[in-house]
Amino acid sequence: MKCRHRHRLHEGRLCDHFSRKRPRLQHRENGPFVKLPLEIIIKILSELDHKALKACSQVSKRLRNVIQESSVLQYHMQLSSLGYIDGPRELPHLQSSTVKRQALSDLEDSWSNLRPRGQTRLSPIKTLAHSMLVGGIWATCDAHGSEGPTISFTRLPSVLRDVEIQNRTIRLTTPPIEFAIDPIQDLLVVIEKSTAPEIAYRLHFRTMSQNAPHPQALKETIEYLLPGDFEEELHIKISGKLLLVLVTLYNNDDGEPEYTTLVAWDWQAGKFLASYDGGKRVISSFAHLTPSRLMLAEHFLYPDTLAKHDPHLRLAFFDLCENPDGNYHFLHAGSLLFPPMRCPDDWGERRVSKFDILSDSGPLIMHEPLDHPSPFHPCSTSRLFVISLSLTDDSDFGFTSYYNFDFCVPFAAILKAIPLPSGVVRSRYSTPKVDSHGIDAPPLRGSKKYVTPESALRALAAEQKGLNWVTWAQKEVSVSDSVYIFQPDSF
Amino acid sequence: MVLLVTSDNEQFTVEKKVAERSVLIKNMLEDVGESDQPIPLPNVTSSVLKKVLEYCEHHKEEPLPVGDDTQDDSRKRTTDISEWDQKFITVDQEMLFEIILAANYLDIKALLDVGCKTVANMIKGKTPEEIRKLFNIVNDFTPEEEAQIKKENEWAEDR
Repeated sequence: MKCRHRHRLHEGRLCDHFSRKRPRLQHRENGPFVKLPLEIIIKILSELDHKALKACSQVSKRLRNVIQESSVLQYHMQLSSLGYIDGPRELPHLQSSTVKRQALSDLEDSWSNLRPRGQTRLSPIKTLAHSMLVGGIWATCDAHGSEGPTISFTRLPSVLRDVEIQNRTIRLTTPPIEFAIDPIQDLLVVIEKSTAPEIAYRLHFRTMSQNAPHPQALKETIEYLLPGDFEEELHIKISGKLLLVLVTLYNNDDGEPEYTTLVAWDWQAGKFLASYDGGKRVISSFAHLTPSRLMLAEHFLYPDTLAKHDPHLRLAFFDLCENPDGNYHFLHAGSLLFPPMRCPDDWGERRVSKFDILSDSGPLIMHEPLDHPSPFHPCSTSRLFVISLSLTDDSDFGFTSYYNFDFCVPFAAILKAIPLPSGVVRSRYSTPKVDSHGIDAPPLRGSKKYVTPESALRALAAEQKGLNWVTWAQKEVSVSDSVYIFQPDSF
Repeated sequence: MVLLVTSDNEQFTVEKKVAERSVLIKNMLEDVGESDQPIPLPNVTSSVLKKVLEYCEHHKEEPLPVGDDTQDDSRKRTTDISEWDQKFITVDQEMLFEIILAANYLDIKALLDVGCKTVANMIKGKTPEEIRKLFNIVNDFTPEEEAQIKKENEWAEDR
């Protein structure tokens, strides 16, 4: 018995390390790193991003050869330089990194010379219809069709993923006011509304494929009550078992947002988790940074009650945190304030007509349906956010001016800007490991930051010189690596 | 209990659960059945094994990873190292590489991951020269080759 083991030891890993894998080039000075077995060196290098790999390939001949000859590492470099991460490994048709690398090259080519292989006709969007594109599925809802309310799904064809076009239509019993889909979880969320005696929203959790109650949802429907009767707008985002709905209620008289609230549910447990009311602020948009950290675009609706004509725009960061008693709450983790905007007294009323965060779905993409998973997908830390801001100026002289800004902010810049409050208990809804840096940055509780120190200084300088935001708005806004910078050239 | 014998002939008596963090030892134990025979580990010195067993002891309650997922798992990020592991792996370079080699030999995937990620973290953000210095690697490129590499990378320098 014992003999057998000895035998195995000598034939097995032992010999691998200590004889075969010794580098042929002997450098007496070389440290232990170079003497590691090849597969371990590759394993270490696989942890690096493309920049670090590039640096390694300039260190020595051996490292250079290892990197150049390993298709795993080459694929890895290409992925990382394009801002993608590897998809699921259990792909029957895309197993080796050589094949995946080819798919990646095809993707790059497809952007540089777009040659459509066929034409895809989408059903025309009818009036009063909602539509959305999620995970390669285009969904439209016709709430008042002649044959009752329907939702149509079109799976968009993809040469890269070997997916054919597919159409399906499902019928609903009552017209929804809003819906959302998550093809990854086969989830269709339909929201309907009843108005008596108070607003009650009913959320249905169904499967996209069967239009049946979703098997993972403990409760078929949940209800959400709001007092009063308003025109509302709902924005829904799904991330895993987390369902987030931004509710905006409009004042019936002037059509301005009256009340905004962000509500979080665990749709699988049918459980209300937490809500965050904008209060005097209007939450105009939100996006996921990680599954449990949100970025909200907020502003004051009636700025003159606080500071003359300054809507106090901010991007606020909130964590969904678990209390010791098992309930949840939104915890303010930090904000980025826009530089103060001031304008002369004799000017009219300024309004924020749009303050939107546009981003790709980021952390939503965790698993793909297994029939046609994509070999790789965008890395959440390589995401870009576009913040789209429109200001309207209703002047007393009877004319209206519009100012539009689009800021482009990389994910890393946002992460750098937000401190993590101390004592944050990560909720079960989070997978903080999604992000490789910044998420667990050292705590700096309660610190307020302007967009950048630089822009804050500029804002201060502008204020001292009596420049107002109208002047700012007319200047070019540039996008730089990490920050957005106003560039008034006069100071 | 399992008896392990290192290359320098030191004996370690450990709980079976602890020893079985090593897939190599686990397989050996399965082959041999109940036995008091010492298990020789001719590739591991006592100082390294002591360290490795410390790791196994701390993680003994965790489920063993199933299946053999070897390469290509780039979704696991370097920040995955837990606080305890980070502290554990804060050792000098020589010991770090010894632990990696031992983890590879003993087939303790989680420890191998921690080791490799730690080395990767040391490399991150460094210039080629700094990496050479860090690991004591001799620059064996000829001046011509070096010029060529510089040229290749010129256009690719980061924005």
